[in-house]
Amino acid sequence: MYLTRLALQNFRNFADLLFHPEQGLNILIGRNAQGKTSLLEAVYLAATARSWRAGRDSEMVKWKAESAHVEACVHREARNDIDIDIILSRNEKKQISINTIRQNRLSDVIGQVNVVLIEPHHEEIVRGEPGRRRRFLDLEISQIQPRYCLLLSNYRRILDQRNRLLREMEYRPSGSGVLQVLNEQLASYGAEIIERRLAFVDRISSIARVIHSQITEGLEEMDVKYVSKIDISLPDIKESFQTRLQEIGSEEIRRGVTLVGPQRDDLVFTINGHDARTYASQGQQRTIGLSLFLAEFEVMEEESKEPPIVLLDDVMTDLDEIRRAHIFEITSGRCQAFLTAPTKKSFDETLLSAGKIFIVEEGRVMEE
Amino acid sequence: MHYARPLAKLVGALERLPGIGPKSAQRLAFHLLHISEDETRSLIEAITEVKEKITQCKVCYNFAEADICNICSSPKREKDTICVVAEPRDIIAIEKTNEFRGTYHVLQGVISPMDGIGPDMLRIRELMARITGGGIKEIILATNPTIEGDTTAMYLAGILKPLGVKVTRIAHGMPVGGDMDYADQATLIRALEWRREI
Ligand SMILES: Nc1ncnc2c1ncn2[C@@H]1O[C@H](COP(=O)(O)OP(=O)(O)OP(=O)(O)O)[C@@H](O)[C@H]1O
Ligand SMILES: [Mg+2]
Ligand SMILES: [Zn+2]
Repeated sequence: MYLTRLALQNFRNFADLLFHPEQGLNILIGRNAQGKTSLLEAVYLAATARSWRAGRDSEMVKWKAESAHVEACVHREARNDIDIDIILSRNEKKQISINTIRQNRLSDVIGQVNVVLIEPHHEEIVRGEPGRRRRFLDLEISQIQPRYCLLLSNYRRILDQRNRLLREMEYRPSGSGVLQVLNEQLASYGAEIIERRLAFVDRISSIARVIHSQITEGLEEMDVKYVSKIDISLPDIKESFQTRLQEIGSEEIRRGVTLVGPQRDDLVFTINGHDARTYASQGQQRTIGLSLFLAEFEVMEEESKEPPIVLLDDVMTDLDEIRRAHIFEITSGRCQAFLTAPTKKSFDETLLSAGKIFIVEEGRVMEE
Repeated sequence: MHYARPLAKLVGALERLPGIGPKSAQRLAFHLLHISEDETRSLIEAITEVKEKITQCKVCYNFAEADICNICSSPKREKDTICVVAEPRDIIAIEKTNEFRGTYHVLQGVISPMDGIGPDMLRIRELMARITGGGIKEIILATNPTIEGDTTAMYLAGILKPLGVKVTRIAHGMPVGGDMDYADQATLIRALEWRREI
């Protein structure tokens, strides 16, 4: 799939932009603070309905403007072409339309257009907080399985209800009866989330391990494991989820919060058997991150029967020969890609000649 | 914006109605300002009459004009089947189909800890009393297909089944004759989950 047209109004520092990218490799060159990352952010927003860097949607609205408008037209080989229209307002909820029809559910938006983003600090996936890794899992699985997105929002709702009940158990006459029902609901949605995460981790790790081994020339072996406070080795995860809830019931009531479930699970990366979060060097952590994101590309391509759009923000500069070659393999001809860098000097001649160069300057985009 | 005080008061009162935002409240208020005196009077009368004459049915807790509502007092309705709904408006939807011959029971809400609503605040004791009173064969749980609707249905199933009645839950899914393309993912997925053998 590829973006054929991107129109922005009052988005970040873009007052009014109409951009027709190339079907293949787009190289965005610009000095600091000209709008390169913001351009990638707009594409990412169209695909996932959110930004990876803005805490609130309103941060993307141009200063002093009331609302921002993002319109993306995407050609898809395996499905119909699609127009995504997003209006971000300072005070209201964002409005998303697909082919002019208003969408009210995130699950009807996410997954229509697939993106893979590689950020400069891709080692964060290894050394960042567990929440960072859960967000990665949730977003990537949502992109390929709309059902997952629904499971998540239902699960969160049950979790909110349950946490509230746990906090107020002593004042609730029929609380334990309701808690039994909420346990059943939590375990049923939670188990399905965990099962889908396990299957995804299985798939992405088998690909990432191969890439990682190629990058490290066979010297290092990485692995990814999904860890949970629920016994996930049992065949019936729903049952073991419920068993766990029974076991810790009184502690949960005492602390007034749900202590187990997918909202507490994590990914553990290892290199040659050692926990990478604790022991790996920053360079080793970066390699794991890169392998993972490259693997994500492969999984998405397999799932949606066509390559996703690749966004690479400022990553080329400090990569060595082998790593660049891996990125080049994907971005030259296999998909539509957007690469940003401060100067052309960051790229090899071969890469430059494979793509079209655009200059980003003060919220405008020009062909070189 | 600054309104004259009585107008501001009306806008404020309208805004508190469900589904009415500030803009609609303003539009309604300006409309009311322009209607004739007759229209004004009949609107006020209608509201007053509703408040005076509408009570709750002592059997099913639907709105009624008398102690017992039309459905509960009708000899044509089958008293052995009770369809349990969250709100009176759910009855209106089912009645429109003209297919259901049983009676209803209005819970007056759903279980939702976040809104401070527990089972003891719903008309569940009254429902159990109807069942233990005898003559009931089937309870149809027709709460909405939301998390809270499910919680409520599952809770009820747990306490009603031991009373020896058949408990069923209505299926939710594709609108019949609807176009697959226009059904949202949630509806489609739900329809798949509740599929049955044919
Ligand atoms: N809501 C906003 N309204 C207006 N301008 C904004 C808004 N948010 C960010 N900016 C500005 O937009 C400019 C572009 O930011 P962006 O992050 O896209 O830069 P960049 O080209 O990626 O720079 P770098 O090379 O340093 O990463 C910056 O000057 C930033 O301060
Ligand atoms: Mg940037
Ligand atoms: Zn009645």
